[in-house]
Amino acid sequence: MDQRGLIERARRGDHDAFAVLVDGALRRLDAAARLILRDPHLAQDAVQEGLIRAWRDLPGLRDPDRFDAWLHRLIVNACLDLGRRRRRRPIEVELSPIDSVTVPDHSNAFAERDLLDAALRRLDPGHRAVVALHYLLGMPLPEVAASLGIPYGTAKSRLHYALTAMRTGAQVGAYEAAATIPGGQPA
Amino acid sequence: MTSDRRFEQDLPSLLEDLYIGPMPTYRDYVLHQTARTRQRPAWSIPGRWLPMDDIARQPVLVPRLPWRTIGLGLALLALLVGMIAALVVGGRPHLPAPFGLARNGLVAYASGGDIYTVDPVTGNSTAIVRSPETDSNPRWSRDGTQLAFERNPGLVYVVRSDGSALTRVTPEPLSTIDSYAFSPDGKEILISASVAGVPSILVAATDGSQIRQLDVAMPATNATWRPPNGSEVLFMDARDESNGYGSIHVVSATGGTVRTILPSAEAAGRYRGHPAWSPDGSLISYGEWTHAPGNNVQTHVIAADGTGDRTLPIPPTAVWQAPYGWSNDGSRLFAIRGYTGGVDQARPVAIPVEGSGFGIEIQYPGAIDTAGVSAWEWAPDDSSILGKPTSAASQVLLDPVAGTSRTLPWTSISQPSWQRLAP
Repeated sequence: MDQRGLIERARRGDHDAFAVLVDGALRRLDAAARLILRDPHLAQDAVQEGLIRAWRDLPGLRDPDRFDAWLHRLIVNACLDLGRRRRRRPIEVELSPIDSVTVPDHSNAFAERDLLDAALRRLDPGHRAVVALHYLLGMPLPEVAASLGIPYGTAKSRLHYALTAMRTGAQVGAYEAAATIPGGQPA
Repeated sequence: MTSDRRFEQDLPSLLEDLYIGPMPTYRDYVLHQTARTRQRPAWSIPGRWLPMDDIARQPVLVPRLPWRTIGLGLALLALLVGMIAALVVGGRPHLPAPFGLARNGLVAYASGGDIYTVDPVTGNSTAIVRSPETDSNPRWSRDGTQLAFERNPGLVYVVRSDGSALTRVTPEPLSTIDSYAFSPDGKEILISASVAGVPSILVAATDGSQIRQLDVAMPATNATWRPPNGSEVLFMDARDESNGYGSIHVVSATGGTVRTILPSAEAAGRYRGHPAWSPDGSLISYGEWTHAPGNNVQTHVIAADGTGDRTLPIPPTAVWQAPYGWSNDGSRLFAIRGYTGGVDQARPVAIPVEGSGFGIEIQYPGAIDTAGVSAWEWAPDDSSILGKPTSAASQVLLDPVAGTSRTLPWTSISQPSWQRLAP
């Protein structure tokens, strides 16, 4: 059954259909939550809250084609809300997924991801939410702005700031070397 | 391709590598939780009518609420509210309702031309108003914070319970003052007095700012505020007082159309007096008599709309029963009951208003009559009745349950008035 059919069934109270939808989205949602919150336990709480709300309010979703965007917003906003509520709690940085992911170029990849992760760690949750929605969950920037309740210009500014920070952290110089066009003319 | 663009292009896969792992181990737990959660009906979800963009931005507050923070916040809020309430309430005197049961306060009385208050428990007296003038008949306001009294000749003054803020409320002397009483809110005084020789009703502001005559289109006397808010004034037609008064009326406190409760019965030889409201303003008691030889007054109760007139029972050997006042709980009427056509065997009595019996007669050793004792007053808590017979200079206290009486240690020339305090 296609996703639209699953959503329609879930809207009518079919929890099995909802479970299928969750299985298809959970890994990415968990990743986005961990990116934003930098705490696997808080991320779990946020995803759980978001999914419970999604199930509870699913009958009210007017357009099934908007399910993914709607679910992403619920999760990200749950993250930001939890982050605000737990802002005094020490943040635990954990990179557990990397340990289980097979990466061909081990030494360079680990170093690069470590630097990128360190750069993300220095951003605040609002900036990380923009990154998560746009780059990890594939949401267009205008929709990111709408989801977070911020002006488009603010979303754009946050994204620019985050990119700069990540580029610096990931030692963009390596890319610069690979991107140079022969003859010395920049692309 | 620039390095910036390439970095941005590679970023999604970098982030996927960095963050997307295997299926989270809490997957089953989450689905167990959602399975236990009931879906909301579509009609109850704002997203059916409002953009879901807005709805989805609202904070998610499902489980794991910060109860400790909420509890601490609520506790602090409660403490703050309590402190504010204590400051507000503590800084403001707690006042009794204008009618109904209250706690007993001080008794006001006049002696030697000055106004005093006395603690009826300890007998300690305090001078409230002392002056070269002759002051008499102090009357407490319904909330017990002010006293009104008469200063010879024919002036009414108001003073606070501690003797401060002495205010004259009648700009010119009145020739004959029959009675006066505070309005339920204490802002006005209703005065029955003669104006240019005509029995009239006056309403005076207690701050002395104004006085007005209530236009009732007839000579009027025995004016009283209707409980509980004083919206109406009861009075008697005083056109011919040679034999008593004939009719009982009500008018709005601001004047206007007069409503007749009982039309005149003078043609039938019946006369009336001492009308009084029940504490809830639903009933009126009054006395009715004829000019047959000897005293034959009887106590009546009638509804405020003039219906249901009835006579309270008296023992077969009794001859007359004159009403004086309602208990604060509205269950009993104080009356003087006579067993002859005169006053030689007159006895105070507390009668149940519903007419279930003859009530409790109170043993009183001295002479008592209906003309000399101008007023009796129930204690605010209804435990006793305060009065002053004409045959003695002292006030007396009657027990309406035990049927006993005792003479009080202070002498007084005035009617009794007992301060009401908040219970």
